[in-house]
Amino acid sequence: MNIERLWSTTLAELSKQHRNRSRGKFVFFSLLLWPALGFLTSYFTMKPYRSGAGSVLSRIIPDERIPLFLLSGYLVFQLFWTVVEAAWLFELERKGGTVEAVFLTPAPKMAFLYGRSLYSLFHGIWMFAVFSLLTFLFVSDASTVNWAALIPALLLIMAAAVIWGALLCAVSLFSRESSFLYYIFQTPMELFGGVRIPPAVFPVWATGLSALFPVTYSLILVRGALYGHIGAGWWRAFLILLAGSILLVFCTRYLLSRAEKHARKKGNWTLF
Amino acid sequence: MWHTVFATAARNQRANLRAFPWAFTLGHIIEGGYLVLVSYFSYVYLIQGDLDDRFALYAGSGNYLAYAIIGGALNVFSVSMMMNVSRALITEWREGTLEALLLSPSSRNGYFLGTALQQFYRSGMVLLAVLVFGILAGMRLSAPHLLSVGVSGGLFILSCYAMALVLGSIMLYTRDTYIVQNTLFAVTTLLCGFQFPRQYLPGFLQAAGGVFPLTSSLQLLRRTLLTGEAIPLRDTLPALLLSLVYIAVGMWSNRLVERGLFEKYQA
Amino acid sequence: MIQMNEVTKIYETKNRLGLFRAETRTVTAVQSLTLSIAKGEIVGLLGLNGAGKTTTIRMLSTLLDPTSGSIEIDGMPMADNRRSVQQKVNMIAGGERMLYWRLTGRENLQYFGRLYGLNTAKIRSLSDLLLAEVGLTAAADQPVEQYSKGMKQRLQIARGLINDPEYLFLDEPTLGLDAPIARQLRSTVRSLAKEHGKGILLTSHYLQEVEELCDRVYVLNRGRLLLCDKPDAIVRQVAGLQTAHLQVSGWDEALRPLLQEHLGKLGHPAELIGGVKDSDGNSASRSEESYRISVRSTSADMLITELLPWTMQYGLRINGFTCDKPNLEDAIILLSEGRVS
Repeated sequence: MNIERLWSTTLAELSKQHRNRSRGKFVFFSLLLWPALGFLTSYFTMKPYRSGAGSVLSRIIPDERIPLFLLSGYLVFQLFWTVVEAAWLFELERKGGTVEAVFLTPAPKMAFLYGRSLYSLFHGIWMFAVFSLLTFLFVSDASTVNWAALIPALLLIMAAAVIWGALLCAVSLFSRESSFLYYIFQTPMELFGGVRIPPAVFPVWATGLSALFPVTYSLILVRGALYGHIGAGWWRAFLILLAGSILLVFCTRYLLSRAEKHARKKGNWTLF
Repeated sequence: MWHTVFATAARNQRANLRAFPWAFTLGHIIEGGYLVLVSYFSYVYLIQGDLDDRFALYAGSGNYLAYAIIGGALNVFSVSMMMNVSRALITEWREGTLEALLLSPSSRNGYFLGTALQQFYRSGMVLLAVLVFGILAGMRLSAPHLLSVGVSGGLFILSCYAMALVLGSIMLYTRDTYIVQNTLFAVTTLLCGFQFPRQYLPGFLQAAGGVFPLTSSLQLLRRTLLTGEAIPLRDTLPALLLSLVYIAVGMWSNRLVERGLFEKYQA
Repeated sequence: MIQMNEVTKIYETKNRLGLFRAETRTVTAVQSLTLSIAKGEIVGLLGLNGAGKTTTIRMLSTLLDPTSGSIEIDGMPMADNRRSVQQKVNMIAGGERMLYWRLTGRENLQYFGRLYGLNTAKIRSLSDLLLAEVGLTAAADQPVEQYSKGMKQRLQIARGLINDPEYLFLDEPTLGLDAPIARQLRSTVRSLAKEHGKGILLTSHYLQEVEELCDRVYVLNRGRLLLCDKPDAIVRQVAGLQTAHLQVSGWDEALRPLLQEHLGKLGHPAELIGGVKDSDGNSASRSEESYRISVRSTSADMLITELLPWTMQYGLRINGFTCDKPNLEDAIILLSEGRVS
C-alpha cells in the first residue's frame, strides 16, 4: 500500500474530524465530568470496606494508595474510552450518507479508521492531562515514580488505545447499532481490566478474561511505574501489550475487508 | 386519557419489537450483571467480607451483598425507565412526528403514562434478570412484608416517572439527550445512595441528594426488602410529595418548551 | 465505455417477527440487466414499481457487488480493479446527504479531494473552479448546515466532480429543487457530457428532464429491462403516433377518399382517422360549417406543410391546427399501467 497515500488520507481524516466534531462542552462532560463523578462514586463505594491496620483491604491496596489506585485506573480507562467515541460517532456518518461517500473514493480505508481513532485521542488529550495533573497534585508521592518507565509506558498505552479504537471502528462497520460497543467492550473492560479491583485477587476464570483487555496490561504498566515496581511482571505486560497491539492492527485490516465485502453484498451502507 | 395511554403503549411496543431494543435491553441486562459482579468481586475477593462497623448501622442490615445488588438493580431499572420516558418527546421531534402528536387532541398525561407503561414492561424484564443474577451470586433476603414492598415499589416507579418528566423537558429545551441524561445519571449514581449508604458522603452532598425523589424512595424500598419490616406510612410522604412536585413542574415545563420549540425551529 | 452484462442483484432481508423469530426474504432488485454508457453520452434510467434504479447506480459506483454478472469500465472488470474504477467514476445522490454539515463547502471538497489522492495545490484550484461552476463561491466558507437545500445539492455536484470522473452517476439530482436551479443543473449536466465528454447515467422522477437530456433511456420494471431506446422512439413505440387536427370550413364528404389517397402518397405513414362536424353548429351556411379532420402520423409538424397545398387545391379554408404529441410521461404511464405489452 502506498505510504504517501496512507499518510495523506490520515491527515485528511484528522483535519475533517477536527472541523466536524463538536468541541468544548461535549468533551468536558464526557471526558472529564462523568469520569470524575464515576471516580468519586467508586471512591465512596469503597467506604463501607474496613480499612486501616489489620484489614483485608489494606493487605491488597495500602490505605494511602487507594485514591491513587482508583485514579490511575480511571485515567487509563478513559484513554481507551476516548477512542471508543470514534467508533460511536460512526453511526452519525452512516446516517448522513458520508460513509458511503468515503467508500466511493479509492482512498485507503485503514487510514480512514486510524485517522478517526487518532483524532479521538487528541480530542480527549487535554482531559487526559488534567486528570493526570490531578493524580499528581492530590495523591501521588512523586518520589516513588519511575519516570523512565512511566513515559514509554504512556506512549505505548496511547498507541495501543488508537489501535483499539480503530479496531472498534472496523467492528462498528458491521452493525447499524453502535451502542453494543459500550456494553460489550467498555463495561466488562472496567471490571476485568482492574480499574477498581486489582486482577490479582480475581478467581482464575476472571483472570483469564482480564487477559483479553489492553486496559489490564496498561494498568500494570502505569501502576508499576507510579509505585516504582518494575519487575518481570511489568516487562511481561509491556511485551504483551506491544505484541497484542501489532496483532490487532492485522485483525483490523481483516475486519475492514470483511466489512466492506459484507456491505457490498447487503447494501447496508445506509439502510437502517 | 386511557385511550391515549394504551394507544401509545401499543405503538411503542410494536415499534420496539420491530426495530431496535435488542442491543439496548441486552445492554442494560449486561450492565446490571456487571454491577452484580462488581459488588460480588469486591465483597468476596477484595475484602473477603471484612466490612466497616458503621455499615450495618447506616444500612439497617449487615447484608452488604444484598444491599449492593438491590441498589445496582434499582439503578439500572431507574436509568432505563427515566431514559426512555424522558426521550419520548424529543424522539418524536427528531423523527418529525411531534407536530402530528401536538395536532391531535390527545392527552399529554396519557401519552407519557403510555410510554411509561410500555417502558415498565421492558425495564421490569431487566430488573428481573439482574435480580436473578443477584440470587445466583448468593444474595439472600428475608421474607418480605408484601404491602410495604408494593407501596414502596410503586413509589419508586412514581419517582422515576416524575424525574423523567422534568428530564424530558430539559432535553427538549436543550435539544440534547446524550449529555443531559448521562450527567443526571452520573449525579444520581453518586448522590442517591445506590451503591453505598449516603451517610458516607460529606454533608453537603448528602443534602444535594435529598433533592431527588429517587433518593428517599430508594431507601424505603431497599430497607423493607432487606429487613422484611413494615414501613410506617408517614415515611412515604417525603418521596410522594417530592414526586408530585416533580410531576407538576414537568408537565408545566413540557408544555412551555414544546411551544417554544416550534417558534424557534421555524424562525 | 461502461458495460454491464447480465447483472443480477438479490438482497436477503430479515424481517423480525418477535424476540427470536425472524423471516428471511430474498428480493431480486435487478435481474439480468445489460446496459452500456459511452463517453459523452447521457443515458437515462427510468423505472416503474420499485425498479432497481438505485441498486443499479450503486453497483456501477462500486458500492454494491452484483450477485451475478459482470461490470466492465473501459475494458477493466470492476471486481478486480475497484480502486482504479473508483478513480474514474463518481456518484451524486439527490437530497442533502453525503456531505459533512459542520464543514464548510470548501472544506468538504478539500476532504474528498484528499481522499482521491489529489495534492494540495490541485485541490485548491479545483475546488475554487468547481465552487464557481456551481455558483457557491460566495458561500464557500460557510458551514454546510447553513446552506439551503439547493445549495447543498449544488455542493453535491461539486463533490461528485472533484475527481474529474470520466463517468458520473446521478441519482435523482433535481429532487426537490426549485425550477430555475433545476434548469441550471440540467444545462450543467448537458455540458458535462457534450463539452467535457463524460459518460452520464441519470435517474429522475421528472420525465420531462429525462426526455430533454438523455440520448438513450433504459426503462426498468421490477428489476428487469423493459425497453431501451431514444426517448422519442420509446414514446412512439409505446404511446403511439402523433395526431394532427385540422379545422377547416368548406368540407365535403366527397373529399374524403381524395384526402386518403393524398395521404397515401406521402413519404411517411399518415392515416386519416376522423372527419367530424365541429361541435358549434350555429354557422350560417354549409360552406361556413367547420369540420375537424384528424390525421395520425409520425410527425404532426411535417404533416401541416404537406396538407396546406392540398386544402388550397380544394378550396378549403383552414381555421385552426392543433396536434397531440404524446410525451415520455404518457409512455411511462401506459407502461406502468400495463396497457402496453
